[in-house]
Amino acid sequence: MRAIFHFQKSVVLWSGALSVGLNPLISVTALAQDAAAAPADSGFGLSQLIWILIFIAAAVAWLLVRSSRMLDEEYQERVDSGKADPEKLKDVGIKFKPRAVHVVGALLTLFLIGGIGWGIDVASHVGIQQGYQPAQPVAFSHELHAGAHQIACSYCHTGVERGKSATIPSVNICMNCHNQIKKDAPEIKKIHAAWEQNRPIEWIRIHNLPDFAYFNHYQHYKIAGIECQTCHGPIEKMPEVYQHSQLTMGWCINCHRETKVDLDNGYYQAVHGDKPAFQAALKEKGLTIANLGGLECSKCHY
Amino acid sequence: MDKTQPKYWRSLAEWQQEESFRDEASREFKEELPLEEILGSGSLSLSSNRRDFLKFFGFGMGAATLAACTKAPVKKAIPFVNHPEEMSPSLATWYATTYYDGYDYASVLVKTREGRPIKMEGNALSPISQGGVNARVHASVLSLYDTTRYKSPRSGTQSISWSEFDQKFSAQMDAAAGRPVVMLTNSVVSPTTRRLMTQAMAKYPNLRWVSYDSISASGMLDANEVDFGQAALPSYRFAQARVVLGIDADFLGNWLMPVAYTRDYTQNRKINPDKPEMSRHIQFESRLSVTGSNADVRATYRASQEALVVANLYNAVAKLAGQSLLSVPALELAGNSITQSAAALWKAKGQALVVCGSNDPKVQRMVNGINQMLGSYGSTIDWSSPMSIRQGRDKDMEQLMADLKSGAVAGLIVCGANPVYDHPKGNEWVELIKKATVSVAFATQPDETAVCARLIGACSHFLESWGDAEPVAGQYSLQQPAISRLYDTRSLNEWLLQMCGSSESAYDALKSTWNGLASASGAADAGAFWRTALHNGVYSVQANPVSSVAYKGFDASVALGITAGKADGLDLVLYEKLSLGNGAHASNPWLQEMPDPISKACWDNYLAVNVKTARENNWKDGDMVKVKAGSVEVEVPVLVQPGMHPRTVALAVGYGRTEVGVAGKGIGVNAFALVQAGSHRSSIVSGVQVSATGQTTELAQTQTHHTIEGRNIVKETHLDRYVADHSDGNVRPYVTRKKADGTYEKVYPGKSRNAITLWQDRDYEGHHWAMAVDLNACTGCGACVVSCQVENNVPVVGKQEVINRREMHWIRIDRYYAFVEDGERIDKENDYERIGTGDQVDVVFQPVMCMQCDNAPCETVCPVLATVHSDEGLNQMVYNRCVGTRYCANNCPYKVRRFNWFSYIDNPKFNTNPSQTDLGRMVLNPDVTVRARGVMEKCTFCVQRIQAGKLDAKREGRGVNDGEVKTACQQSCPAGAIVFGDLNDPESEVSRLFLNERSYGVIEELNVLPSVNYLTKVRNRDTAKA
Repeated sequence: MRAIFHFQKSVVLWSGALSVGLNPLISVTALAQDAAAAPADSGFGLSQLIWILIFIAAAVAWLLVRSSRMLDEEYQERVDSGKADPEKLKDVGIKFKPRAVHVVGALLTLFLIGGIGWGIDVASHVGIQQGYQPAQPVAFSHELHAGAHQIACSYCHTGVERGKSATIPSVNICMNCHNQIKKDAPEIKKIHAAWEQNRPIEWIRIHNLPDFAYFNHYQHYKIAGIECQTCHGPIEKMPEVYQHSQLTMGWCINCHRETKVDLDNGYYQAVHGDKPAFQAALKEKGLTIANLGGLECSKCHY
Repeated sequence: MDKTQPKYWRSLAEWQQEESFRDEASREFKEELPLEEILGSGSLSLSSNRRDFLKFFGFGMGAATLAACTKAPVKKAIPFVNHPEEMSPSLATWYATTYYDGYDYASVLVKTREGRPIKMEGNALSPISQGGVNARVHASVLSLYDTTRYKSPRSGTQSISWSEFDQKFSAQMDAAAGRPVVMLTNSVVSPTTRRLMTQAMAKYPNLRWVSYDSISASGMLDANEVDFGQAALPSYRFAQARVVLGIDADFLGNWLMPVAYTRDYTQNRKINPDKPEMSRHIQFESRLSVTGSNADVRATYRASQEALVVANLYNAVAKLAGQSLLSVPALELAGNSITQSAAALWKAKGQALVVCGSNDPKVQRMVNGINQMLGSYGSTIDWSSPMSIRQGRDKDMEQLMADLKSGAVAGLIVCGANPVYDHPKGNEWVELIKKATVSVAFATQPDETAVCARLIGACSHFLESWGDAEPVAGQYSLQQPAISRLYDTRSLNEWLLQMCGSSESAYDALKSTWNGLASASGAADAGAFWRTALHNGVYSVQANPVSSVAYKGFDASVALGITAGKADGLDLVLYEKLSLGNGAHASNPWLQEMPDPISKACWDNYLAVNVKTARENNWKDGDMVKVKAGSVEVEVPVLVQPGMHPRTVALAVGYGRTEVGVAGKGIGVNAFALVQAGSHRSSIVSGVQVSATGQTTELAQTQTHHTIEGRNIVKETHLDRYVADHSDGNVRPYVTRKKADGTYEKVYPGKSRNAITLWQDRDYEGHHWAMAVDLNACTGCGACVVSCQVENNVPVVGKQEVINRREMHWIRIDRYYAFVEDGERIDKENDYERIGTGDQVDVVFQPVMCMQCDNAPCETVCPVLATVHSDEGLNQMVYNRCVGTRYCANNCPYKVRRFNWFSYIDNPKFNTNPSQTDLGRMVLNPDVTVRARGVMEKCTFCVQRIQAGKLDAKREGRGVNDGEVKTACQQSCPAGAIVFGDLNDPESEVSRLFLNERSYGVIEELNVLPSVNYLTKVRNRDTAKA
């Protein structure tokens, strides 16, 4: 019988721990998986299952507590009525009586475990600036320039045509048009002031990759032909730019797993063209970047 | 094991099988972890109690919580106002320019990123340096960011403006009142500077000009003046020479133009089945130099007998030539080397070359006589394009000192020279400069001479200024700025223009010189001529008609007074190291930490002593001794050096700087003080007294940091055996396997289906990067070590950490010794009886970088997958995953992994590390991660360059061309010993070399399939007993 009660105790504790502590973690995982692989409307997901398990555990715990009470009452009754010898029943006696201290202890433990779970949840989001939308020194609107006026991205972000960095346009690029257009608008006056005083505009950087990750704009935009919007989102609809993507390694890798390589590039023909495995893969469904070693560490970290 | 395979060892301790060596070899780390030291430096101590623990714990939690509350820092992106066309963020821009500091010359390409120079490479278009660059030139980019540089002109210790400087200078010149004032410079090779100097001397008629070289070639200049009527140095054509004899001339190290000579020399050392021949190199010297260690035949002589050795060689050649002999005492070196060398030289008449490093004009005149008999002039020695990199005459310096003392010369303007430090009478110069009426120095950073001057002009760095050079007649090169000036400085040309009262800019002055060249060349468009020259960095014309200079005949009187000298006592020879050279770059931590090619010691100079001499005197490595030469006395540690002549000790100059940046402070002693002053400064001092002080110190030597456990790491053969069998000496390991039919077969390690292996086979579908290193070409110079350090942001760890075996170099050059006696190798260890005088030693150099094993043992032991294989054959190291277990380093058979023990970028203990200052950080390569403490790192095959090369290929829609991707070590190698490429391309150079009969992988019996193969060394000797 003692075993029963020990079991009962642990069930109460663990079910609580599960419900409070692990829930955020699991839901985060589930969310990430939803976003990554599993379709969002798959109906019966992991989180629902967890909730049902928690409900069952709670029900069992309640039942056990109830039966414990009943047994206790039965025992007391027998002892009081002299039907049972308390000395004989000593060893199998029920010692555990839920008291305030137990309740407080259990709650504290739950709180602690929940706190740790919450902490991990928060920590896993540290450094991800998705949605970061700082106020810029000049209220430049991509919606107007890229959207309404259909100016090509690379007209201003010239670096994307040849370099690792897409480059923030220098003032002289703004002045190409704005030495004529809308000269008197208050925001344009800021550009004129910068030009006249030879003082650069200090834009707030939105997309920050860690220094140990190598990313080359030119490679993605020109060689792979990736649209700017794939990573930067609907930039032509943004009056004020925000960070559209997560910019985490998982996010990079995922795209490298799914995106097919443009095998018309002479490089791939020259380097891989004569390899049978390459030809076979080519015939089936093309090759992803991952197939060509695009997930290897030293492709981005060196 | 094949009997022909030599037994090599890495250090004397290993040869002697000392207790300490065996003990060290058996331990992974030199010492126990210095936890007490690290933790004890702050309040944190190992003896903290429970309360302390709770305090730290509480603080840690609180700090972590607070840190988690802060938002990500706001970063700014600040573009240009007006974007310059030629510069774009993240793209490298290259400029062709010229390095010349009065000592080394090289035409270089400077890589700039975001407008700051970060790397030097050789300019392949230069007919002189031919794309080679030595360690000092590689490291020179850091001197631009030296925090100790003069930031403005100074009057005494006070900063002043240039207008004040000009006023004060005029006032000093007026005070001289027409009495002579001397401009003391290093050898100026710039045509523009020479022209401006002439103009300045026209403006100030009392201005004279004296050239001074810290390492003098005055003896050669004097000898050539008498013999050829030209006080100049001819060009040496090592590429034409079948037999080269060097007498104390370290032409692969520091003698005149070592980079150019290395290129030419190694052309004749590379051997292949299509051309099974190579030059023979004989070296006579009294210490073991880099050049001597590459020689096929080497003999030592007592330093003070140099003249006698040359005279005897003269006689031996004269006997063959049928000319009259000199009457000198007869001398022969070990193995009848003089007679045999004379025979070899005579046999190669017209393709022979004798060079000598002596500064004695009599010796050089005998050498000229020998070369004349051998028909070297017009073939291996070229007077049609004389060199001007050494112009200083020692007697001019003596005269100048006398004149300054007597007051005949009123003042001194010192530009680019540092006589207080590197002249033997340095102490006297201090007072002479301080007291002179005109006391001006023009320097980039404080040195011993500049701080004595009353007026100091802040000189621009060579990467900030326009200029030119003509180091060899007819070979011009341009110097263009790669960055705008960091401080309020002037280049020498700018100051000279100012002095002349000219309003012309240095750029215009330069252009007018080059417009003159353009019109002389008959170029129709001077603008196009200029642009081409600026792009190429070099321009060549034929200076003189070939052999326009005639030999005036030999004079037997030069041999008068040559005696055998005293039999007892020790001679001292002073030499320059490949790292520090003349000491001008002593504040460069990269050079300080570069191991000496021979001794593998860094961060110090030391007295190199013969093995037996040291044993007789009971001197051991690190024992402090007093070296007394005349009235000068220095205290240095002993380093027992195989290959030294028993009666000669050697000490490097270039150390012991006092006015220098943080890296050079208190490093070594100044050996220039021991140089024999006079009308021909001599680096040979006879009759020095050496006595032990009883003190000991520890030398930072890298060679013994790993043990080879008696394995056969280097392979070699002799030319005659190579000709007979191209695979001679290259014995490859195999296992014998019984076949089904009962017969046995040999199975070699490798990637064949037949191989016996536990490893899973990998297919390298795309590229398979690999490297081949020719042991016959590698001279051990160490340029690759510094080049790699610059390219890959390798930290500087300092002397103590090198002693602790924690150096960080990603590439090392292992040097192996083997004692030889009468042409036979001494196989037994500690065999003092048989090593004779202990000066005969064979040396091999072997550069070792990460082998990028296909079956990498490091990868299998990493618990966190921080080192994994790529499908291009690279062994990738992922710093962010590494938790620092160091299992990989433990399991690496080549010991090429380096653990990052400290936070070198901010720990004040490592303040010599350039990345500790804002300015020094400018030199870091932005494409390579700066590694944090606690991670493992290693050679990556310059993966950043591979990726860049592939991107270029993809941009143009083609494969990667062979030779397009060069690793930093390969690019910098003046010998061309390193070849990198794609093994999957059957046409590539590296594929061909892997199939060469000489090709082998180090300890390939482990079947780790290294991607680096070496080519067996071939020695060109007559008697191939060993």
